[in-house]
Parts: sequence; C-alpha cells; structure tokens
Amino acid sequence: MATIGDAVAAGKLVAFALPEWEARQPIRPLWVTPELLRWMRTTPQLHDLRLGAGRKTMAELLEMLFCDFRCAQRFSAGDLRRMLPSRKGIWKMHPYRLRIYGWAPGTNQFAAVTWAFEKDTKTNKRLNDQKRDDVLEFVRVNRLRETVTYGDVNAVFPRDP
Amino acid sequence: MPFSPETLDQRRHTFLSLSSQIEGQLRDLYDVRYQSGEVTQASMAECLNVNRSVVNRRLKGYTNMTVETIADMVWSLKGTIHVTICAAEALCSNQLYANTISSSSVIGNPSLPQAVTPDDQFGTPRLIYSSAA
Repeated sequence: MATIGDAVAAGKLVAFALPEWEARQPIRPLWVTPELLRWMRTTPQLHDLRLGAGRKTMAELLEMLFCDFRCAQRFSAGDLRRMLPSRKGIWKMHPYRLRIYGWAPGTNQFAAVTWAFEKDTKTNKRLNDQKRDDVLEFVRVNRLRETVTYGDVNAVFPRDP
Repeated sequence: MPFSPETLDQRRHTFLSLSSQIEGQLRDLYDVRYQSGEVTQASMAECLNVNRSVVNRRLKGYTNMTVETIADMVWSLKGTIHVTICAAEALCSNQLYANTISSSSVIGNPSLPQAVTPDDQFGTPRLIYSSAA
C-alpha cells in the first residue's frame, strides 16, 4: 500500500500552495491532482468575471475556498459533503457553481481528484456517481485505499484542528 | 488570461487579500456567535431587514460588499472593526501581525491588542474584527 507521500513523489498529487495574497498560516493539508490545477488554469469559463460572483471569477472563488480549507480555524461544514454511499469515504466540496471530488487521507486533510460544473450535475443525474467512482478508481490505481479516512464530518473534519 | 497565481497582478492580489480577510473574519465571528447560540443567519437577516440568502451570500463571499454592508454585517454580529492602511514599506508592525496571526484566534480574544492591523510587503490592508466589549 502506498502513502500520500508516495503519490506526491510519483507526481499523482501535488500539495496545494497558498497564493501570495493569502496572509493566514496553513493548518490543514490539501493535495490536488495536477490535472485539477491545469483545469483551473486553462478553463476559460473559470476566468470570466461575468460568470463569477462578487467581482471574483470562479477560479478565484475556488482558490479562496481551498485557502479557507487550508487556513480557516473553522471550515464550514456546508462546503464539504459526504457522498453516498457513505461507506466509500468520498467527499465533495461546493465552491461557487462547481463541484470538487476527493477523499480525506487523514483527519482534517483533503485530496482533491476531479471536478464538475454544478449545472452539469443537474442535467446529468449520473455525473456525481461517475465522479465518485473516478475518485475511487484513483485511490485504487494508486494503492491509496488504506489512507481513506471514514466517518461523518465531525469525525473526519473535527472543528478544531 | 489563464489562471495562475503568478500571473495575477498586485492590484488583483490586494483585492483578493482584502476580500478574503473580510469574508474570513466575518465567517469566524459568525461561527463564534452561532456556537454560543447568540445568532443565526436568519436572525442576522431579520436584524438587517434582508432575506436570509443575502446573508448567506455575503458570508460566502459571493457579493462585493460596500463599506456600509460590511459595517452592517459586523454590527449584526455584535462586533467591532479596526482598520489600518499604511505604506507597503512600513515594516514596523509586521512582527505584531505575525504574532497575531499565529495566535489561536484573532476573533473575540480579549488578550489581543485593540488595533492589530498592519500590512504586508504589498501594502495589503488588514482588517480585524473583534467581539464588541
């Protein structure tokens, strides 16, 4: 069985680096796939101010959510949802108009694997399940099953890290 | 322009930093008040005479709040605001800020100084809300 460190060394995951403007200190680890970072950088809709909110683009709102996960003393449980069936240990984040899917490799840790636009999950009712299965496949292929942390939001993401 | 932290200019950095601080501190103060049973989003909405979804959107950072709106939100959370904007090259207060940010919480901590709001090397404004005495 592999560890998160092995996945990072193999380039399957990268630690999410805080942007220059983030003043807070990180208190939770967050990993993302290189594909997710590339999608954030290169998807035009994510950089269109007209599609964002509060004069921020979707990419900026997503980045702010990631920063909040890493740094906020109390991360909103409403932004993290456990996917069904809960015994699989897969979670999704709810940034503005987006969905990010991943798992918790430890208490108060998150590894983000794949993504979807919220509107696509409304029109394709099977998309959430497909994304959940993509995360499970990522975990299986990279032999990370033993890192999956199970439990409800209070167990996996306790309030005071 | 493709997203990349490296390609964001300092003007955008300043906006994102300020926005992140305001919304983050509002959420933290809301959490403190909510946990103590003093406030809910519904009670804030009633207090401000707006819909609950408006309060939710403000807390999530989905609106570009005016100064008046920020003040309203802080007031409804029974908080106070301290703001300092200073020159980017002013380094004297950075250590004070570093000490503050490393403490367990900047919200509602009576041991904190009352005007801890220095900037960083980019001249980013700092705001710290605290529970009203």
